[in-house]
Amino acid sequence: MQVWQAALLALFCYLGALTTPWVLGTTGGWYVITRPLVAGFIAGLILGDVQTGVLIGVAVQGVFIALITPGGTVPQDLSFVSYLGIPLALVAHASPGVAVSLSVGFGVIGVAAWQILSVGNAAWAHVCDRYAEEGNIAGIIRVNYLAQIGTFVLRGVVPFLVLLLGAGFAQNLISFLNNQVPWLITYFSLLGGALPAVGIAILLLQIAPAARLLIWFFLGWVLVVYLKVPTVGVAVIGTLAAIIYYRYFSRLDTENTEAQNV
Amino acid sequence: MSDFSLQKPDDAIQASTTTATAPVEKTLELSDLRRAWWIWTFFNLSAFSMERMQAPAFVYMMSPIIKRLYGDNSEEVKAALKRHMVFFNTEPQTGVVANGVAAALEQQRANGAPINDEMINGVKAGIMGPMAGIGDSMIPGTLIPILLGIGIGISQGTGNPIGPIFYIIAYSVIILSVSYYLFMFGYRYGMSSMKELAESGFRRMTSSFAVLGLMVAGAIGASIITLKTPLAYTSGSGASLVKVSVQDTLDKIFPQLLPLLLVILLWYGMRRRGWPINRALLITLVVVLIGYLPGLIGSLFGIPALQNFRIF
Repeated sequence: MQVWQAALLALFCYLGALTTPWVLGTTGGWYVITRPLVAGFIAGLILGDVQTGVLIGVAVQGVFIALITPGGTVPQDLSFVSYLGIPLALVAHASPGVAVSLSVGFGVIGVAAWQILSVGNAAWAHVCDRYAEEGNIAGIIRVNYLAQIGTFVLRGVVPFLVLLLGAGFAQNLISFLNNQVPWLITYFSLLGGALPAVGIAILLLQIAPAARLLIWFFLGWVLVVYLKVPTVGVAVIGTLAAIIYYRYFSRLDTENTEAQNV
Repeated sequence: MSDFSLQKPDDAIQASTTTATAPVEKTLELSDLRRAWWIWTFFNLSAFSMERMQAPAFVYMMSPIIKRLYGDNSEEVKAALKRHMVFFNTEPQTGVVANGVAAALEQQRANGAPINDEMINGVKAGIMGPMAGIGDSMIPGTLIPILLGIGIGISQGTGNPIGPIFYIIAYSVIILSVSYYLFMFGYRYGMSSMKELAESGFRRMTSSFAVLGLMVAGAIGASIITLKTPLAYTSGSGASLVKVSVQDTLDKIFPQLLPLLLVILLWYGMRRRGWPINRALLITLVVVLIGYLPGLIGSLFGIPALQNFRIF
């Protein structure tokens, strides 16, 4: 990996971090730049292989399709998943399945970076308290910019070094595994194929308020496996189904739920 | 703000406010509100910490409003800054309705309405909690998976970059419109906004949205999870040897059955047994390992009988 490539990837890692304001805040950063689907595309552009990048992005995205960050706690850190796991897998020519396993590993490590940041930033809140006491609006505004220093170090500088120094290591590691312990690579590929099941299960947990609504999940599933409807087609059918449900069934359903809950 | 009906508790009326009843009514310009919304959109988490969460960003967001309303009174500025430097945390893109309400309350207060600090922060806290829950289940829980699912559908198998490009545009446009609308909605309707949102019409909409989300979830699951069994059974011998693949048989009856069973197992574990996400990841790791183990042991130790015996 060239220095400029590592620097650009690290820059996107920083721009997409949860607390970076510059690209429409959380909207453009965390929820767009850092989604693995988008990161795969960006990493592909930077590393010169858009197609493989997008394919890896698709595979990794499956695992993290419904990851939410309730109250600021993250079980998996998407910044490192997207901008360490995906690019390193790409330069090491890992299969999408292996890329998924690698990314999940980085996701666990990244949680520590997030915890350091969210605890350390408490110091800034106390600086703000002092400015509030003085009626210093400009000071409080300045803190919103200064607090970016920590984010920049953890999400920009650290990933830059890891990418620069880790690219060769990741390449050697993957080729060593391929040659010496192929069974481990096979296991990682199998695992990478199965891990999106966790993402889908979390998604069901998030959006189905009642277990009986899972019938719609099964409907989407069988439309694909039996009738080979593409995902976009299911989204269109789903929109129609949602309108029909809203018009004719939802009132009844909501009332029933309330009656049961009483 | 004539449509703003204050349902203030009695103690709030008795609260002393130092605001002099200004002869000219202080109003917020549309540009102040827009500026506040933009600041919030960019900076909502910029100085985030576990202790005060989004408070520094909230104060930054309020700064154009505070300057407009209390710019001529440094004591009032100090009080307003301190008032908003308290713990604030919500889903930033939809919880922005609380910011709009806070702006409306500050305007009332600046014009002499008996609104005290506790009341403003009580209203903020009363909105930020429910909106965090609703926002998290609507945005990262439903909207994002649907849009990502469509993007994945476009790019899958081919690596077509239209998938991510579709997601980037669709998400930004939808969220910016929704967030701007919610902020202005909060400002216009003040406290009554949450009552409207909590009415059953909103719940009906949420569950209809879930229908769409669940169907897309089914489509994504069916197309991206890979779990196949290489198991096969043979019957007969010699020329009449027939080898039947279990996976082929399964595919004829119910394609993608194994992935579906895995999803149901994980869903059951998380919903009924309360597995945290990392436990679900670990269980998947173990399930795949168990299926892979016999063949692995066979290969490592050179036991031919086991080598081809793999469940996955």
